[in-house]
Amino acid sequence: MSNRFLTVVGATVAVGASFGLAALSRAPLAAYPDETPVLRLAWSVRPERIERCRTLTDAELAGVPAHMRQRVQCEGRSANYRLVAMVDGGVRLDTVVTGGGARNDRPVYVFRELGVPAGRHQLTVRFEREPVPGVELSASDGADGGAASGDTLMAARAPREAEERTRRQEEAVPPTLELVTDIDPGVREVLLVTYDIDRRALILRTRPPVP
Amino acid sequence: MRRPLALLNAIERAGRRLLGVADAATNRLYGWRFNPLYQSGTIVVAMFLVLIATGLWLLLFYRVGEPWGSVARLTANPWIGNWVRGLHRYASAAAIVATVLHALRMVAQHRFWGPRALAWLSGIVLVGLVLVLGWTGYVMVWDSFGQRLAIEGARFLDALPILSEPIGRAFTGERAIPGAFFFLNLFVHVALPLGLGLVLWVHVSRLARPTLLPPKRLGWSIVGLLTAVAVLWPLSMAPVADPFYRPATVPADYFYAFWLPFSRGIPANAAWLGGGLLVLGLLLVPRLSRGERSRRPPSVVDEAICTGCWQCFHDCPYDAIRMLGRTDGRADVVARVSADLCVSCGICAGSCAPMGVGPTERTGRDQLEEIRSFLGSPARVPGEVIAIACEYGALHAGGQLREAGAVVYPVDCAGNLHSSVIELAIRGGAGGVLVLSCPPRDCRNREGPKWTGERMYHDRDAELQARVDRRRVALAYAGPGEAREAVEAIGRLKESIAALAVPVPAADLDLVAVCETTAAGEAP
Repeated sequence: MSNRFLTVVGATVAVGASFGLAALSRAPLAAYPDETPVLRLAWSVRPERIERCRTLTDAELAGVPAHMRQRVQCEGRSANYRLVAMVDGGVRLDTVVTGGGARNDRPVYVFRELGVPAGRHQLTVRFEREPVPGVELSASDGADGGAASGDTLMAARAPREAEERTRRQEEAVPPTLELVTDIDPGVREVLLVTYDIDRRALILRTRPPVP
Repeated sequence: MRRPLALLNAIERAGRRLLGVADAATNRLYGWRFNPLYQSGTIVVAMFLVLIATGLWLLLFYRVGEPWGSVARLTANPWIGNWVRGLHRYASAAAIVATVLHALRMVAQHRFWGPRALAWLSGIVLVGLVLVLGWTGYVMVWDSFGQRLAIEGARFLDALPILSEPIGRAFTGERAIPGAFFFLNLFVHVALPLGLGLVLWVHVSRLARPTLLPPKRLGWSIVGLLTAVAVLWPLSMAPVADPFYRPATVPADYFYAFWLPFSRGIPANAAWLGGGLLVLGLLLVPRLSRGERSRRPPSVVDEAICTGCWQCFHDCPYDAIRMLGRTDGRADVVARVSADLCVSCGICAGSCAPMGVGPTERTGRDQLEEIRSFLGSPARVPGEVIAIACEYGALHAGGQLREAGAVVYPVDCAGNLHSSVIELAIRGGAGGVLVLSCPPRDCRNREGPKWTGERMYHDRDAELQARVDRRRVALAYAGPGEAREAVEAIGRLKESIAALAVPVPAADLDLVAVCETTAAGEAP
């Protein structure tokens, strides 16, 4: 083979390899082969606390280091929630979700994707607290704890503790959330059901119209 | 242990076969000097530099508050944007291709055991960093491909019990992607190359005179070709990421997203387990070759012979030789080999004029013993051509060499061949001696062919003595798949010696004594 021929072949191979490289760096990849619309349930909420509270006596408080003294002491756990999704009355999802973290005391994070046929359907999503037999939610037997004591420091703390407990209760998700709505998803579309923290309700979000 | 070792050996054999064919074909087209397959490691570094240059330019136009929009504006500009972005992308793809070829060569040539394990391990870290860099680079654009990568990456990260809030939540459409995400992503994309540079330094830290860049002609040719492709085939923007739409296909970079088609159906924990086992297996590869040290012991110095000339110190490709003050009362210094840095390449054996250094049984003196015994065989005929063939290269074509009329004398590396072996062969009656070395950039011992050429033709110690008739000596390069080149070299040498008289075997000159006196500065 002549040197000229080899040069032409060499140049052709180099150009071909370069274009091949470029082609492989922009080739179509099957991202979502299934074209069924998807119902995405995604939200993150702070669960309610199921706890038993009691007011400590002065003697009990005296046994606690000064910086750890709290008149009302609560012990308990975060609530679990039942998540049910129905399409046209048929149950598509029925599961119990718990808070994150090793002790389940972190926010509850919901992320589920369900295939839904394209077209009009009625969607129902319910998210409600699992009942806990024998336990009353946030029961407290001493909201006025510090006031009973002659300790002025504890008396000043009591309203703040009560306020904190109230704030935590208000931040928590309501015991029951329900969304009933009509949906009309198109092919490959994603419908999102999420929690609106301002309205304290589940809402449906769809793809904004493409301009 | 036996099964993984057998698997590794099978991979090495397959790799050698594949590379032998590919190297030979590429050498035919571009010559060994510009064979990109031999320069895979340096091409990665060259592409890294291109990526830094183009990346700094692209960074000027990128906005974390408007990722897709800012990249789209840049892509729409054919003069200062599109082709730079194209070159950035293609250079990153070329870096991956070159990395794979480099790793394949290291495996096929068994270049990962003992002192080379550090380069192997740091190489694995480098590959990991490069893949993460590519991931962050594509997520930066925030098109449909970037979103797909981000969602899949988040799925894997969320499987680890390290984050209080799942990352995947950012991509569900509940809210706009926070700017902090793109800022963090950009920070990682810009900061990682610094780490990459550091690991690269570790990667080559055990090499003397590491070659970091390809020959200029080759390097600029690659950059020119990639630039031409970027100009002639402009990049286009993929659709912006949309959490409310699942596209059938996305335009993907298979060099960085090769795993995406496989990972999709695999639970995240299983993917971590599989990936972890793969990485662990790769990390353990050098451990599989623990027995290699007993087969290839490190070089040793005979301090009584060493003249302290520094030549082995200069020639060692792995910086494994130090020069220390003598303790035996003689003046000057003596060479000392660091066994934990020595890969037993034997290059020092070829560099030592008095033959006082080298791996056990492979020193210059051992080599002279061997060639004497070879020449003493009754099968030897005066005037024949002896082809000294490297066992990793031309020896693969031993049959063709014999058919071409040469007698094959195998050596484990042409780079550690002592020049006295050539002289002794000529004195022993050989019509000519052809040293068949691997092409310089393909030497398992890095610098063997370079030093051999210097010793034969440029008086580098231990040089081939002037008394040897150069018409009877030749050096040629031939890889394992280049029988034709080796046979042609034999033909050329035969032509060269055709007009010369058939040599008469000379009385055995005591070359050991000659070399010792030469090294001591006395007349031979």
